[in-house]
Amino acid sequence: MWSTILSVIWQRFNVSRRAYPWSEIGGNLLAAVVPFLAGWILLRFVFGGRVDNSFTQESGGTNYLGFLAIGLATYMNMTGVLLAVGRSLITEQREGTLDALFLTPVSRIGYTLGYTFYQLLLQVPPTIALFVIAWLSGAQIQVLAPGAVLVNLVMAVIGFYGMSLVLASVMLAIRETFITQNTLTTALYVFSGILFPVGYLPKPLRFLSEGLPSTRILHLLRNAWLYGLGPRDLPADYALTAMVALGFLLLGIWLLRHVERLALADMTW
Amino acid sequence: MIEATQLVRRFVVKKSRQFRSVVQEEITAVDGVNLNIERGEIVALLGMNGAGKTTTIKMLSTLLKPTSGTIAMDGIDVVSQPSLARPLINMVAGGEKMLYWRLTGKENLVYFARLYGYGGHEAAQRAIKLLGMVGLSEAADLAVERYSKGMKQRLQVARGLINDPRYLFLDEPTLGLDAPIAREIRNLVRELAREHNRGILLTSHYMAEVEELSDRIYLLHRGRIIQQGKPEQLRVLSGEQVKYNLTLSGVNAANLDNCFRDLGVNGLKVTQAEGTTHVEFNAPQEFPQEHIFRAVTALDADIVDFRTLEPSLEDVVVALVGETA
Repeated sequence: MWSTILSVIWQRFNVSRRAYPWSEIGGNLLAAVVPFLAGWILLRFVFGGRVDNSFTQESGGTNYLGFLAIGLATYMNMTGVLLAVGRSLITEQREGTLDALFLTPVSRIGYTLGYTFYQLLLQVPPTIALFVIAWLSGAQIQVLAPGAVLVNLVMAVIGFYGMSLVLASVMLAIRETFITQNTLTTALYVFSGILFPVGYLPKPLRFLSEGLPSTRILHLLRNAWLYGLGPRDLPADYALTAMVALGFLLLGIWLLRHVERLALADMTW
Repeated sequence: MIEATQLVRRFVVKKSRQFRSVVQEEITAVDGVNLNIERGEIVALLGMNGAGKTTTIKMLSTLLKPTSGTIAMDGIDVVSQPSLARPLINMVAGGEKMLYWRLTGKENLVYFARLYGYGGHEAAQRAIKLLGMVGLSEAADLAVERYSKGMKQRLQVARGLINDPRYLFLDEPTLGLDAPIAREIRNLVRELAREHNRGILLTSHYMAEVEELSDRIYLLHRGRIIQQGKPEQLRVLSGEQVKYNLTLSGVNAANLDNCFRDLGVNGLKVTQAEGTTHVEFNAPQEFPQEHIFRAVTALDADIVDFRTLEPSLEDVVVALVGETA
């Protein structure tokens, strides 16, 4: 499987450096930095540098810039994985390479993990740049529980990967990328607790949001990073989040197998 | 050997009606197909559009699961163990597909080799060897988007050989190619079967190509095999006749007319010009030519020219399909 993962990373790197040598990293960087600067301006000039008590209650502290930086970094990595894996198979189908790919004995998990790790590697420079800018803007971004942060990063990879498999299946099944990806990324941006705590959302939306691995992982990641709270402090939350992430992973694998067969049958007929 | 038995594939097609609900219709694309492919032979699968050729190839190549039926490949059950069959097969399709246009020719081959489990060095070696085999060594480091149609097709053939398959499925491999490039591809296909002992299943709309390459032909119509055999056997089965064209000297046209009619040939046409007599007629495939020579000897005539024109495979296919329809 590692051979497949490395091959896909190598292939994606070569395709990207010819298709969009700088714009991909540049685009990612802007997508993360601009919302952060907007948040910084709002906090400083509109809200006078203060957050109210409700934010403290919902998020567990007053560090909005740290909250925002971690949210945006998570969003950037999550959407990178979701869109890359989500579009991978339908792009192969549109470009006429899906048959050639499925003729090989390549593992589907290895193939999609290749896309996942390539995207995570691609997001490293913009993520570092985002935290540097956040630090320069006065955000408190000191990691208080590195071990717990690491656990969350592992859960994030599993959860985002699972979500991306579900998305890939939906895109392949309905043969549509534009509405799916744009609607989804906008919805995640607003409803996953990237800019504000999900406690502010109406109850039905909050319920839906907390059913996603992204919301749960982001909540735990902030608690570990900014407030030093790890699995020992929040065992039930960690267990539930791990279950949700694994649930999405299993659902994604199952869906993809079914949709793959349907897609190949549709292409034939 | 690949042996497919009673292959059936049905599709459910959704048809939406305006202002009404979607209607589902079941269509049988392949209906009880039996075929086999030995290593070292080229087998053609012919049929009109929608006959079920692509569906059959996709089932044989593990891309599509049959609704029912079995496919055995060198002792492997392809339907239940596709992952064991995949390393033994590959497919080449016409029409500039199955390649990554942003990658170079060499990168394409290295990538696919690695997906087949070759190590980095071995994959590169295989890519270089195959690029040389299809005459693309000099274009190895050029992005595929800059390749001509013929170059892309040759690269596809190289990709189809990247895993050293025992069986190769060629779906319209020369589609849209210029004559010299198409000839190169045909020579390569022949070499793969004859010298490298690969079993090849070919579909093509170019009947001359099928006629030139194939050892056996399966004729598919509406999902069923309606005829099979060597090209010459299909000619006999089709009832299409051989066209004879003779030029004789020293013969009386009236006698000749009676004599040839007695042979039971069809469409007899006799014309005289500049001291020679031209005779044209049609006769069945199995018609013994010695009857003609005997008749000419009896007339005490000399044969100046003797030509026969076999019915083309296209005529044969049209006749056989028309008969079934």
